[in-house]
Amino acid sequence: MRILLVEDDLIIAKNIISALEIAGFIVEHEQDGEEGWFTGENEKFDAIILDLGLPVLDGLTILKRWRKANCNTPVLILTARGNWDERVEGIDAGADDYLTKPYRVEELVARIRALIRRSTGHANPVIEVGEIILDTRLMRISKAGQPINLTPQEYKLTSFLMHHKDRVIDQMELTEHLYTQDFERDSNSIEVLVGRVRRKLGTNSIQTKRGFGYIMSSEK
Amino acid sequence: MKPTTLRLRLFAASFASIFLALLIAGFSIASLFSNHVETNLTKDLTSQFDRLISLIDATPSSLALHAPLADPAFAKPYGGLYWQITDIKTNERIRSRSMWDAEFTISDDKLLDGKLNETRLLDPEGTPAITLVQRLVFELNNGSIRTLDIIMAEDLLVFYQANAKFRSDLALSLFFLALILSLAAWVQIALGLAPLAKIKQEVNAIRSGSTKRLSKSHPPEVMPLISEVNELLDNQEKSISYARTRASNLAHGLKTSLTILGVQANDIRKNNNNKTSKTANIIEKTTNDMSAIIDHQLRLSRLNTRSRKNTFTSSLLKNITSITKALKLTPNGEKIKWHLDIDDSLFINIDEPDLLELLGIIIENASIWAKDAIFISNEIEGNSAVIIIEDNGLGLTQQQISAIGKRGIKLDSKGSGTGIGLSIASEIVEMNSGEFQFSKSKRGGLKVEIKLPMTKN
Repeated sequence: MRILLVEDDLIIAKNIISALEIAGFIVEHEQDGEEGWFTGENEKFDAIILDLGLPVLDGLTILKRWRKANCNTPVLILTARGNWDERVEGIDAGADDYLTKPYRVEELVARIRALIRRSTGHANPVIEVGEIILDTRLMRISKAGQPINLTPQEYKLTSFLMHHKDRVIDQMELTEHLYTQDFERDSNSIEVLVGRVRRKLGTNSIQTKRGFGYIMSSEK
Repeated sequence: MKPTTLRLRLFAASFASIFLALLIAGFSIASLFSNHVETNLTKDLTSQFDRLISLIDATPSSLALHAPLADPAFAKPYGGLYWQITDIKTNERIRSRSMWDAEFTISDDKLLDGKLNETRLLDPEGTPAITLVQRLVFELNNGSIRTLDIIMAEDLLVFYQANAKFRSDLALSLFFLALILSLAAWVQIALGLAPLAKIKQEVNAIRSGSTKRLSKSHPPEVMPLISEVNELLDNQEKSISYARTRASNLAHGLKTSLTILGVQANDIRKNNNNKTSKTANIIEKTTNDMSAIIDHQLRLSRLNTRSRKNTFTSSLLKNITSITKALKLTPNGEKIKWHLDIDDSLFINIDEPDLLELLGIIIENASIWAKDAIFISNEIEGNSAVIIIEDNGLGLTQQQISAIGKRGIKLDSKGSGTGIGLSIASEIVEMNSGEFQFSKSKRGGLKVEIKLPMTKN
């Protein structure tokens, strides 16, 4: 899952990036409003964390621009301004959640997980595909009630496909959401990764649609 | 001393001026009239006197008139006109019939100079009379001389009566004139002060919130005042906005720094050393406390310290919908079934950001403790709306319920809040003459009833 973090304070940003990476997210960081706006509008992310008090361009303006340009990536606003009128203003401008500083990083991660889950149409934090169950709060995947031990990359792949279950995802999209930008795109890492997950979850857990991509679906 | 109204002051000054002017005018006119009549009277009497002198037929042996004077008043007893001629040597005296048996006696000092003198005597009826006297020396045909004291008098009774009548007519006229002038002065003052009354209306409109500035449609004389007031209002609005922005920016800066401190504390804790973990916990607790204080002060600074005369029209349904929309996006809020039963035509007489803050705090609190449902409804009590917020959580003990609203008191010790939200909510309710009531809900959780003034239609 790929997250864009637009935050001008480097210490806070480092802390958030570290927590999100531990939670299995790929994080792109922008420090000023102008760069954040450009990146958010031109690249694909699963969620955006947006600070409101940014240099060059303020967060609320960026959010309005994204929404005007039909960029519908879920946005969590991170701000020191906690009044309800500002909160409502942020939500009305198109934000999907609002977290005030100081915050607990664990709560931020939980909110991001919930945000991504909701944006992919899952009301429940537990996503099921056949016998395979993903608990987004605990970052745990089990099959037929037995926990499966996955590496971080394997978890990211499975989680992404389960969030978008019943939808064919091509290699390009998977690469964008699972790896950082400097990843070598021509490599066969995705194929290798899919193979490893199949060995742990079962051959039919991830199906290949030749010429299109991969899919996790309850229907066999 | 209680200051009198401008209208009363102006009217009192106008009335005093009118009264004084008419009083002076009255006295002057009465005096002029009296002088004029008296002058005419003297002039007529002088003519009669000259006529009398011309009719005197004085011989050494007799004293008579060639012919009687034409005015019949001389012939009628006590007729009002009198004459008397006395030879000072022989003491021979003739007089008009009107004198009847009376005589005029006059001192020599009025006669010695031989000129026509005017004096006042009492006539035969005892009424004051204007009197002309002159001592004349007649040289007779035989060369002898006769010295005659000639007196002619006219009763002043008619003059006095005419004068009195004139004065009473004059007083009545002046009284009505004073009334008309006073009425005119009142109308003039009312017209003159009308722009001030309009300003008062507009100031009330500003206070009630229906307008923000005084209009420009005033007479040029009061426009400098209007411009000054509008400029003052502009400056006041800018100052408040500037102060709030500065407070907000300050809080933002401080809270960002506190977040950094919290991050550092978290990093220290990761070292997993007991001593450093303890230090990290202290830092984290301190930063949380400081943040809560900043938050409390910032939110207080944003509350509308309005005048009681201000009127606000904040839609209850709109604000509650905004809050639930925001809360549905949170992990706590998304699991909740929201049951709203709010009258969409209900407006609350509180500044909208304050209403949003108050309801946001209470509803967010309910979303934290609700099991899976929140019920928001309203009732009407006289001029107030009662907003009822209930959750189906575990609820509170009576002791916890009575502690709610005090600063720093949390609803539950395991909660992540600081209790400041409820303290702010209490201040908003108090500031707007509302009432808070907490009780156990029949749905299981807490029942909060907030009584707030409605906006009158």
